[in-house]
Amino acid sequence: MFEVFAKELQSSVRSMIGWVYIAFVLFITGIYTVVYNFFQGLVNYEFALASMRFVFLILVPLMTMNTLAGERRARTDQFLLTSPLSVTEIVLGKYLAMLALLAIPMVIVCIYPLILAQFGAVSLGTVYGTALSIFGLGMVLLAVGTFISSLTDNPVICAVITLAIMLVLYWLNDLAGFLPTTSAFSMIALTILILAVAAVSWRMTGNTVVGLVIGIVLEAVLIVVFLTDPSVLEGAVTAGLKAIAPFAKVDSFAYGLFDVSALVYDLSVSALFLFFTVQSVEARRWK
Amino acid sequence: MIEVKHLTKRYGETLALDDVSFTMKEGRVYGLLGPNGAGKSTTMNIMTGYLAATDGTVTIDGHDIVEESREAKALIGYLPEQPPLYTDMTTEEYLMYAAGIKGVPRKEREEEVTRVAEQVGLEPVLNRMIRNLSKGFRQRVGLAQAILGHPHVVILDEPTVGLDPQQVIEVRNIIRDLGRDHTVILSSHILSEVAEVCDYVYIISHGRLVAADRPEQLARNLQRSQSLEIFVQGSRSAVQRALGSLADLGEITYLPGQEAGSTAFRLTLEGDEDRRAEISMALASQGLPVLSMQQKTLSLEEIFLALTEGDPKEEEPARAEDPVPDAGNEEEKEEGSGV
Repeated sequence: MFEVFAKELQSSVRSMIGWVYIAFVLFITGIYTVVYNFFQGLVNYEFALASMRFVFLILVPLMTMNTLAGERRARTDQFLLTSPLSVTEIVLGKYLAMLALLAIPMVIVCIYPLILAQFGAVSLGTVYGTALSIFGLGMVLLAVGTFISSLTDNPVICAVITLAIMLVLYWLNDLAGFLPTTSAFSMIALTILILAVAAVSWRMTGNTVVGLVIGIVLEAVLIVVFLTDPSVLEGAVTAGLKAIAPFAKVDSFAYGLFDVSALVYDLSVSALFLFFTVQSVEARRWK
Repeated sequence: MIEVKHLTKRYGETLALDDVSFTMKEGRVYGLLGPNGAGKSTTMNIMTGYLAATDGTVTIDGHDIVEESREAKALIGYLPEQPPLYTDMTTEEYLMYAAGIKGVPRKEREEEVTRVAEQVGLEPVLNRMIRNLSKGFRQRVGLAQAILGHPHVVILDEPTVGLDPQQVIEVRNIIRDLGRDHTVILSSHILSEVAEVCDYVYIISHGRLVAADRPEQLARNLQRSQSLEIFVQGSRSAVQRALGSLADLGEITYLPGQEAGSTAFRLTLEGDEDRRAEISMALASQGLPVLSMQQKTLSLEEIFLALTEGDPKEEEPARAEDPVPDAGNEEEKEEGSGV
């Protein structure tokens, strides 16, 4: 795993791309630092940090488009997948290399509040909490991007799809507010979700019975809830989407709350998508 | 020792491999021969664990490629059809990386890379970026990668495709060297190559193993008859008279003569007995000088065609579709003869 990690990090740093990513993050963060902290004279460096999170919209598609899709296109996946390394090691090596690349500008940015603290009362706890949540957000988005990269062998298609998904995730918290909150709407939305879950489990296991059982059991539970107490379902979709909206997790940190549940969310969602990635790479062998 | 048992691979509806089984022993060069699309690459991709078989097993020195993939894959070096190279690395960096991935201990990597580079003649390009290398050198980098870390089994998918004749000879020599201490499996659709390099040949056609033997044995098995092409000075009737005295000559086919007063003909002889001297003497005794005599043995190309052609007709799905075009052909022929 270490070999893959080292090679990925090395080649991104050497090929300029890594430097461009680092410079891009520093540039965007720098603009917010100048506007908020220099021109407006705010001591809240966390605002500058919270504002720069949209860099991921551009950064994640560019970073993940070549991770697995590029390997497939160049046929170098044949080298990796026939080596003694397991798919988990390959995926983790690549993922950790992207995290390391992301960590470089984040560490540099973390020096800024120390400088600002010389001129005013910067709340370092809030600032570093926010920085940590930004990094956590990066973890989630890079894991999602890696998964998308495992689905195609075309880096451009991968980048476009990832960008679209990043945009949806970016606005998810706001979009969720526009959805109807009636229990009937929740019923329909959850039924569609159950169908999707059943279809995915049918595809993944190749077993029709498993898919059917999962679908029927979940739908039965939903119907029972709907018939006994429909008020439970009111606004359920909105609440659910708001709960999983990754970009919004940074807000509570920026307001000075160290939200441990958000960090647990970051770790578990990243792990889940990396697991999906490994499954998707393994599954392709059987096609 | 490689054991492949009942390998079957389906891509959706297409049957790419149909119940292929074989065993390969240590220290030999094996050739996987077949026309394009016969299932050679699929077989190799399954043997190396890149693809999973729909059915059947592959074991390398007793390790199943799926169940004990780490142990099995550590024993294999693989050069796919397209060398899997990172073009943004130099040759040396790439080989160092590959050595690391293959679990060569850190201290030995440099030495191992040097050894392999020397073996395949990569020293001049060690510090060049792979993207700037010619096709021949890229192929060699791929080959070097495959033999890093002394794998027991080296699998090469069409290793000489796209190389110039000089490079082809060099790569073949490397393969022959490798065959001394590795089990080498190479695929090819070039018969002369397989005949020259391999100790053993497996012929695959339409996803099935249709023949497995030593190259010369393959020829002998199919060699039911031999033919001689003879060019003599003299008339046809004189030739007929001269040959009339010989027994069991088989069929005489006259070929279009090139010169006035000379006759060219083909003799099809039963059995593999050499009768050239006898025939030459018979012709000479009648005053017919032999201008040339050529023995035509069944070439590997012909064996190959004999084995791989017509095979789909044995398969059930193909047979169902066959009658339609065939019927069309017959009608055409009938019309032709009518006119």
